[in-house]
Amino acid sequence: MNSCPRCTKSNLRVERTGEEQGKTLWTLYYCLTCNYSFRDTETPNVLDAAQRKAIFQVDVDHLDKYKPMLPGMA
Amino acid sequence: MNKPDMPKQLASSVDSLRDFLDLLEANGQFLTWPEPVMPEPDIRKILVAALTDPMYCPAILFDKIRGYPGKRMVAGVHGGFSNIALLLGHPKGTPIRELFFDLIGRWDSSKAQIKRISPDKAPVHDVRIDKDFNLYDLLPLYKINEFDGGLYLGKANVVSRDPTDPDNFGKQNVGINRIQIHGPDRFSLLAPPVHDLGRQMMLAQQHNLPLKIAVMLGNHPAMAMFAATPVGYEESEFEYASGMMGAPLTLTESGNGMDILAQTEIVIEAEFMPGETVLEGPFGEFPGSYSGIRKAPIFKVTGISHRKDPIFENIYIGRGWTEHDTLIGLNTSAPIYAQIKKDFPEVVAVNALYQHGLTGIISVKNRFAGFAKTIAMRALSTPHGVMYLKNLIMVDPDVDPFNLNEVMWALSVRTRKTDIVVVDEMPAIPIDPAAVNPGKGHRLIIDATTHMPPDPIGGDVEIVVPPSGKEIDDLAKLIKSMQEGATS
Repeated sequence: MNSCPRCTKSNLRVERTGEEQGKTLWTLYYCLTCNYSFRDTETPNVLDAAQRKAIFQVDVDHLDKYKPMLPGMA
Repeated sequence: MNKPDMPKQLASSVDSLRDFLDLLEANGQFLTWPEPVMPEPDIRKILVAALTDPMYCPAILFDKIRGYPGKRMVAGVHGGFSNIALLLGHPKGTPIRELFFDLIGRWDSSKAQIKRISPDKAPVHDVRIDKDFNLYDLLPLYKINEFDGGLYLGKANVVSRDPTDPDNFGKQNVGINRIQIHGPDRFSLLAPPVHDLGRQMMLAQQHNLPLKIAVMLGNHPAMAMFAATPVGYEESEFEYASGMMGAPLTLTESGNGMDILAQTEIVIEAEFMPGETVLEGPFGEFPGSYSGIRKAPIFKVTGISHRKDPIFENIYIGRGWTEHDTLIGLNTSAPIYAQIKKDFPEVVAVNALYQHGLTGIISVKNRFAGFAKTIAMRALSTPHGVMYLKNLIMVDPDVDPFNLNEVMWALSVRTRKTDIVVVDEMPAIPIDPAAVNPGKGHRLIIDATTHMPPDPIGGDVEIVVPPSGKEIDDLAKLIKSMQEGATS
């Protein structure tokens, strides 16, 4: 995976791989831009930005639309 | 088969998650999934399938999760009402109405029994980690719902203390907060301002004080069940859980000075990082919809303790029926009942099982025309009712609010158009997916009780009174056992 399925930015960190009999079964990624986690074995409607529903996408150019959980903690 | 007094004896001997899993297994309410599973989507599919039977959903242990060799995860511990029945000392299959009245009987118990053991004798500290923390290696994490924003702990009991009064045991809070993992040693924690922990985080930030927490995973089943019950800010959830169980809870101290259950499976100690936030969510929540995305504060791991070969306990939550509904349903209903009962002894039972009480059914002894509507209004003014009781159905005492067939009968034959009241522009939980303006909504009251003077009673009719009581209950059990005998 080269880019985040949620924000499309290429700012991913590999968190862990799942190994089985010497082979990598899955890789878990974390997006340092939008804080999304995903495993590369999830379904295309989760992993492919083009197939994901718009409501689940994050527009990092408009982060101000996400409100703080607690007042004053933005 | 257990003797009649055996369930209570066994339940009172439970002092840990492991004890409870043994009790569930002895009663056919526990299984180990035999096949290897992928973290997604296999675990989710299996749990959703198990939860199609809210009465008998078993706890399921997964010990062959691909990519997590040697790790164990259990879910569904509170999945079925039979599991709750066994915890409370009843046989599996005990009707929900009986469990409700059992909890009511335990209400306001002051018989808390807190035992303490030193950390060096506590099983939770069998393995201690003080550096190089890696939550991804510790926990077999998976996506609970397909479009969750990440990997969540859905059933953690979080212990925290008031940062302005850190030595006050009563002000120590234990709550269930959803936790999203954001790195090997970092996580966010959802606690809105109305929750005790949210209040403590705001105090810590305002006064620039440290805030330490201990996240307990895999706990005594009473802790998970009762930590979600709203008690007063200065009341201890440990004492409340022990009092409600009528059994001791054994505490010890975490590495960062919190009181924790001595036999909890895993404890993650962490500290609040004021000023740092991440995007938290979405997460499939109890109304059956995804929550939005918000900026949430970060906690940094400072220590980890766990039992040998620990069991990571998690939950399936989303569109009902889910373990969340079973876990908190009765604890949502009981306080509403107790609060109404103080003023109106005519209330008989409260069923607020559905989506944390977004819909409730209350049975009440009607005194005069319109009285049930008054009781409904009182329910709306209870602490939980203020935000949650969106739809209320009022029924007579001859209708069991936990039996939807009986409730539907009352709706069918005891309602007129004047029995429906809608109050608009009321406060509401912001995650109700039906909300036009999240945070506000309606109250709907349907009075399905019998009409009384001065209202006209109606035509010349008389309700059939079928035989009921112990004789009928015993006959029903006999018929069921005859059926089971015929098929075995």
